[in-house]
Order: sequence, then C-alpha cells, then structure tokens
Amino acid sequence: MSPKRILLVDDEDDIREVAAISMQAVGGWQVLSASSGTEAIATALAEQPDVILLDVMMPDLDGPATFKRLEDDPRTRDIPVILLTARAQAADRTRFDQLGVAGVLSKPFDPMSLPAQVAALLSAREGVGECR
Amino acid sequence: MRAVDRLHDAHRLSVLHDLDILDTVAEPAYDDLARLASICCDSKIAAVNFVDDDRHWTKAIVGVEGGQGASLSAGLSFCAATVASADGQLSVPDTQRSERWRSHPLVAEGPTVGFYAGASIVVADEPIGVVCVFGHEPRPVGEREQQALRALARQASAQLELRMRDAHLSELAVKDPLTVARTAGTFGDMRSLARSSELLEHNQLILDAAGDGICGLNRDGIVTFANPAAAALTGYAIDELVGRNLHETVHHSRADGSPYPFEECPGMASLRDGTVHHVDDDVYWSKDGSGRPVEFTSTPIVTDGAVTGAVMVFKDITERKAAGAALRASEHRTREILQTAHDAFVAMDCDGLITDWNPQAQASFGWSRDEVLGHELAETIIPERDRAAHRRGLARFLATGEGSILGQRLQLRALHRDGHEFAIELTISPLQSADGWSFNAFARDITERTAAEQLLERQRQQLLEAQVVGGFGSWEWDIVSDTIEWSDELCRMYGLPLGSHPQGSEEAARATHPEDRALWQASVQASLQSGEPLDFEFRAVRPDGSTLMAHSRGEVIFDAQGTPVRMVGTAQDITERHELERVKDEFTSVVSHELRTPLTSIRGSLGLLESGVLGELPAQGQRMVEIAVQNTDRLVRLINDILDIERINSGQIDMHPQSCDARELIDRACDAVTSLADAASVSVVIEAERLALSVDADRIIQTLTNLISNAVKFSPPGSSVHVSCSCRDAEVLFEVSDEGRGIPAEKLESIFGRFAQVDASDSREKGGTGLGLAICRSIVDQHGGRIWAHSEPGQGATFSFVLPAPGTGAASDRRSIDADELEVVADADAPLVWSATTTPA
Repeated sequence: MSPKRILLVDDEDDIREVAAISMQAVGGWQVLSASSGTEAIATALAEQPDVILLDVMMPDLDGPATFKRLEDDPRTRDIPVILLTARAQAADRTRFDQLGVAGVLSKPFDPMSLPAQVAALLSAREGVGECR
Repeated sequence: MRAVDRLHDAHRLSVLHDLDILDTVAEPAYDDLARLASICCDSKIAAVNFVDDDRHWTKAIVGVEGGQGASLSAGLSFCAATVASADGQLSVPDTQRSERWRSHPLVAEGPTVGFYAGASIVVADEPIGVVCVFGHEPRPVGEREQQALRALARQASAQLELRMRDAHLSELAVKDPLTVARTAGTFGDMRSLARSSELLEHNQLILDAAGDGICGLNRDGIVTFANPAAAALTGYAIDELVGRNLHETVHHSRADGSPYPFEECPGMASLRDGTVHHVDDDVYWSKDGSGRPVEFTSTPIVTDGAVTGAVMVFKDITERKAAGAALRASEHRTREILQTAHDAFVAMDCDGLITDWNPQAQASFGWSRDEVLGHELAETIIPERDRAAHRRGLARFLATGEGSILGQRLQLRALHRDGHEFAIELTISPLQSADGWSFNAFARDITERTAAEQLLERQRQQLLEAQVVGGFGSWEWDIVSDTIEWSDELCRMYGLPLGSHPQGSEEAARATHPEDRALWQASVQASLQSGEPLDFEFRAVRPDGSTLMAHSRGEVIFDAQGTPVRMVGTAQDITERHELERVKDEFTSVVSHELRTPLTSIRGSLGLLESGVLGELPAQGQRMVEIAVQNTDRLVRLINDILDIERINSGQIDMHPQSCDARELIDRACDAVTSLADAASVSVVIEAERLALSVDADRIIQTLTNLISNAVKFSPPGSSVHVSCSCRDAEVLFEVSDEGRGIPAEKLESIFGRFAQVDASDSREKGGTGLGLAICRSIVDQHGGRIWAHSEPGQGATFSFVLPAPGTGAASDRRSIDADELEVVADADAPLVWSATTTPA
C-alpha cells in the first residue's frame, strides 16, 4: 500500500519545511507542497492528494478563498481540506468550521502529533461520511 | 338740563326769597332738626341748608364748629344737587365709588366727603333747602335713615310754612287789621291747634323712625316718653317704661354687676348740672336680666333757665364692641405674626421714617426696634449710594401715585448696622389711611440663598464644561409626561441646534440608528421593568446622515408607589474609542499572526529535534532543546492568554450559553489537567452535584482548567486538589481547593489582575503567564457571576466562583435537578454523585 499524500500549503517556507518533516518522518506521509493558493489549486488538480493542509492567511488568495475554489471545482471537490491557522480563537474556529472543511488546526502545532491530528480528522470525516 | 332748570327756577327762587330765611341768625327749631338728624342717622355731622341759585347757605349744623351761616358754591354743593334732583333726595354711601362724585373736588381733594344723604325741604311745592347728614368716611345709608331725613325735611317744611303764614298775617295786619283780628279771634286757636297737631305728628314720625332708644325724662329721671327703639333695646314695652325711673329700671347695676347708685350715674347728672353727658361704653339691663352694651347721651331740657328734664338717647353697641374686639384680636394676631415672622418687617411713613420693626428686622439689620423707630429708613438700612434713588422714588410716589417697585418681589442691597452690605429680597406694599400713606416692607436676607444659587450656577457651568471636555451629554426623561431634556453638549454631539433635541421618547428613538432602535427600546424597557441601571452602546444618526457611536448610562427614578417616573443619565460619544478598539483588535490579530508564524517554525523544529526523529542529540544538547520547547510553549500560552483577555474584555468574544451540567464541566476540566497532576503527583478529588447550568461550556471549562492547573502547580507532591460544585441560593458555586502554601491576605484580590502573581518568580518556575486568573474573572464576569479567593497562609487556598442558575434573578426559575429526578449511584471519583434520570433543561 503506497503512503498517503498530503499537500502542504503555506506562504512561509520554514513552516512548510517543518510540517513536511513532521508528516514524512513522524507520520510516514508523502508530502507535496505549495506556497500560494493558486499554486495549491494547480497542484491539487494535477496530483489529486489525499488531503490538503491549507494555511489560512496567505497573500492574494487566502485559505478560505482557496478552499472555495477547490470546492467549486468538481475535480477537487472531494479532496478533504484541513485549515491551519494562527487565528486560533474560538470564534475563528467556528467560522472556519462552518466553511465545510474537514477540520481546523492551530499554529503553532506540535510536529510529533501533527500526523496523528490529521489522521484523526480524516477518520472523523470518513466516519461522518459512512453514517451518511 | 332739568337739574339746572330746577336750581334756577324763578318760582322756586321766589318762594325761597319770600321766606326771608337766607342769612338769618341761628334758630333753636332748626338746630334741633339738625341735632335730630344727627341722632337719627348716627352721623356726627348733620345740617339744614337752604339752596339759592348760586350757593347753599347753612341755617343749622351740628358736628362742624362755626358752620352756621356759612355758604358753599352751588357748583360744589351736594345739597344743590339734592334740590335739583327729580325726587328731592340724594344718597351717596361711598363717594369714591360713585361715577358721578368720584372726581368732585370735595371728594378728590378734601376736606373729603365720604358719604352724603339729604332730603329736600319743600315749601309751596318747591324744593328750597335740604336736611342732610354727611361724613368723611364712606358708610351705608339705610332706608330707615332716609325715612328719618324725609320726615325731618317735612318738619322743616312745616316750620317754614308757618313762618310764611305768619309773614302773610303780619302783612295783612298792616293792610287790614280788622280782618286779622277777627280771623285771629275766630280761627286763632284752631290754627294754633292744627299747627301743634302737625308738629306732634312729625315728631312722632321721627321718634318712631329713630334706631336709637330715645326717652324723655322729668327732673326726677322718670320716663315721660319712650320711642319704639327704646322699648326694643330694653325689653320693656313703651307703656312699661313710661312712669319708671330710667336709671333704676335699666341702669341699676354696673357692668360688673355691682350696684349703680342713681347719684353716680352720669346720664342722670344732666338733671342736676344742666349739661350734656355722654358715655361711650356702659351696660343697660334688659327686662329679662341680660346686659346690653350701650352708648348714651343725656341732654338736659332747660325751661326758663331751670332744668325741667332730659332727653336720654342710647344705642346698642354690641356689634361695635364685637368689631372692636375682633379688630384688637386681629391686630394682636398681626403683631404676633410679625414678631415671629422669619422675614424682617419694616414699616415706614410718608416722611420715610421707620414706624415698625420686628425682631427679625433686628436680627437682619443689627438695629433694635427702639434704636430705629422714628429714624429715616434710608439712613438706617439703605447703602449710601442707593439712598438718593430711594428718596426720589418715595417723592415720586407721593406726588403721582406711581411706584414701579411697589408690590414687586425685588432683590436689593441692604446695609447692616456694622456697615457690611448684603442681599435681601424685598416686597413693599403701600397703605393709605386717614393719616396719609405708609409703607410696609417684608425683607429676607438671601445672602446664603444667593451664595447657594451662585454655587449651583458655578457647578452647572462646571458640569457643562466637564461635558464639553469629557465629550458626554446628559439627559432627563420625565416618563409621566414623556418629555425629554438634553444638555447642550448632547445636542452638539447629535449635531442638533441647541434646544432642538427630541421632545419625547418616540422622537428620541427616531434619532437612533434603525438597526439599533430595537436594542435601544429593549434596553430602556428592561431598565424600567427591572430598575437596573441602563447601560448600552448604540449608533445614533445625525441630521447630516453621519453616524456616531454612543454609550448611554441611566438610572430609573421611582415614586413612592414603585412606579418609574423619571430616568436620568448620560450619553458619551464613543465613536473614536470604538474605532480605536477596532484598530487595536485588528492590530492584535495581526500581531498574533505575525508572532505565531515564526513560533510555528521554531516550535516545530524544536519538537522534531527533541523527539529524536531526526537523530539522537548529545545529552546536554537534548536538555537545551527541551528547555527551548518548554519556553516556546510558554510564549505561545502567553500570546493566547493576551489575545483571550483582550477579546473577552472588549466583548468581542460572545459567550454562547448552552444547557450543560456543572459536573460534566468539572470532569472535562479535570481530564485536561490529568497529565499535569500525574506529573506533579497530585490527586484531583471531585465532589460535585449534577446541576443544570446555562453557560458557555468551553469558557467555563477554560476557567476550571485554569483554576485546577493552578492548584496542581502550587500543591506539594502527594497532596490533593478538591473540586466541587453545589447550589447556593439562585447560583451555582464552584470551588477549587489545594493544600499548597496559601495566598497572603493582601494578595487575595490583586492576583486577579493582569500579570499578577503571588510571587514574582512564579511565572518562571510554574510556567504561568500571569493572565490566567484575570481571564477567569473576565469569563465569570461575562456570565454575570463573581469570582474570589480565600486562603489562610500555609493552609492552602480555595478559589470560588458563582454563576447564575438558569432563569437568572428568579430563584423559582432555577433549574436544579430535584431529588425525585435523581438516583444515587456510586462513583469512584466522588464521595457522592448524583446522576440525572431526566435531562435538565
């Protein structure tokens, strides 16, 4: 069974790099990365990753807008998206949750538990999907 | 025209002149008529005047010394007017009130005629004279008195006709002595008899009409005749009086009941000394034994130089005495009022001299009554620079009757005896009497009031200035009349011309932003119903369409019945503050993001290094990375806490109340600190009831987690932290107790401040941010609860907070889980645990 692929999207190179090591070294994921919303959409279309970890605050096309485009496109609509945000307040979380994403994770994240958190959110989503 | 015609009528003048009565000497018969008129009409002045075409001439008069023989121009004569009148009589009770007579020189200028009554003396069908009474003071003229005057006038007419016949007979005697002698022989007795009969008839009429008692006495004081009034006043019939000794019958005792010897009676003295005696106030005893206050005059009857009797005239003075007593009582009351008045009372005569001065005047001005009476008021209490104006004003009033300050409430300067000036409020009333004008003044020292008013005005100005500086306005709403008052600053804030603010609540609502209008009205209504202070923020719209953000606070004022009658409050323009908060929030958000971003890289990198996933580190290197991880986590918590507290305090984080169970909240909080407690070897003991709550669960868990983790951090290994909740009145009480070092009393309150620690080293050693308790307090406050700490140093500490039970403010609405809804179940974590069989609301 080939490892699952995650697309990491963040305009901060350092964060992308830390998250990539975390997902690869700790979680055993295959990692794709993009530094903008536009690049993320293109990569998602081309690579069809299993999940997208999408930063909220990015110049030009931010996380929620990127998610909207992914959702609007039938080719990317089914790819689960997890938002990663430095705005970790309850109100923000609620707002993001209502967008219909698979989950919301806060920055800074613990690199040792990040893969497990991602997996848990995906499992929960799949569980909901099964119930449906 | 007729009046003038009658006065100058040739026949009337011919009859008058034929009588040869003008410019003659005094005659007893006419003097008697005048006297009778005076008695019958109770007037001091009475006269018999004859009216020529250009004057009236006085034949007889009583009450005016030397008046007999005097003339008065017909133009000024009331008697001339009487003669000229159609019915031959004139009655003017009050000349001042008479349209016709008000401007008459004798009324307007003096010697004044206050009243006048007269009846014409008619001879040969022509009115040629008048029997009249008059006086200075107005008084009513009754029908009885007019009747008496007419009777006396007829008596005078009879006298004059006799006089005319005598003149004719004398003339005839010269011309035809025989006829006259025969006539006299034949008719002389008859004529004399007729004349006597006529006179008697007239006299009887007069006596009958008189209101005073009149008795004729013989030289022994025996009543020889009495009129009906005498009978009425004594209670004896006329027949009973006649033949009795008047003194012994009605005057036998003095007012005090002691015997009154005949010899001592002044009334009877006329019989002895032949002079008139008058007594002002005595008592006559009626037949029924009751006493009657009387005034009497006895006039001797002298015949051929010897006293042959007397006429006793007496009148009932009950009313006069009662009026006098009432007057004295009234004067006494007035004096008492003036003596005890809070105001100074000062009276002044027309010369400007002080005539009265009450004790309060002494207190106010420093002078005693004795010191000022008779002194000029201006010199006594008016500051020197105002005296000339005072004197000019007095002179003008006396000359013209004009006094602009009279009857007004004035504020003036007054002079104290010690020379200092002070403010008084003064009211002056002029009063006219027989002695001329006088002036009564009430003065009140208003120094304190003026000072208070000035202070009030200063404070008002300060308040207005404070409103300008502070950017807030004040308002007042009279709920009953639904009228609203705004301060000038509030008008300015709303961009309204001063005074053009909304006048009623409907209008005020319209000045509120449409989207906030419902909130505005709901807030006001809630305040009115609960009595709680009004406190809310809203947008208002200025006439130019711009919007301002306002913060309004107010208090409801209730009447004695508990009905809200008024609301008063302030409104502050917080537009700028609001904008600053928005900018600050934006800033906080950006800073938060900008801080978290590098921290994410740092924390992630360190985490990976620490985990060994990227390879083993030397022991010291591993330790350094661990320290870096711990402090990065601490920095992250600090940033989170700062954001939390700012947002909670600025109300940006809405609390989302939901139904939950207090016990469950505690369980979840304890779960969050399990690893911390394990690491510290501290056990957490839960003693909690299942209690229904309506709170923001996440926030209360955050609060509990904070308190429990604090307790764990400060607990010695092996000790316990106790967490409990229970019902207390209409509240749910949460308590977290530890067995740690405790908190000094002086820090029990300050630890809820930001970055406050019991010990400065705590944040370093315990990894806290110093914001945890401040956040707890903010969250509890937002829920309408209270939080506090209790501790005995060395005995551990207990942190408690209460939250309103569901249905805040009404204990009956509190939804705790009742005993019959519960079953007791065993629980290893708690001594006693209640499990609900029904879901709490």
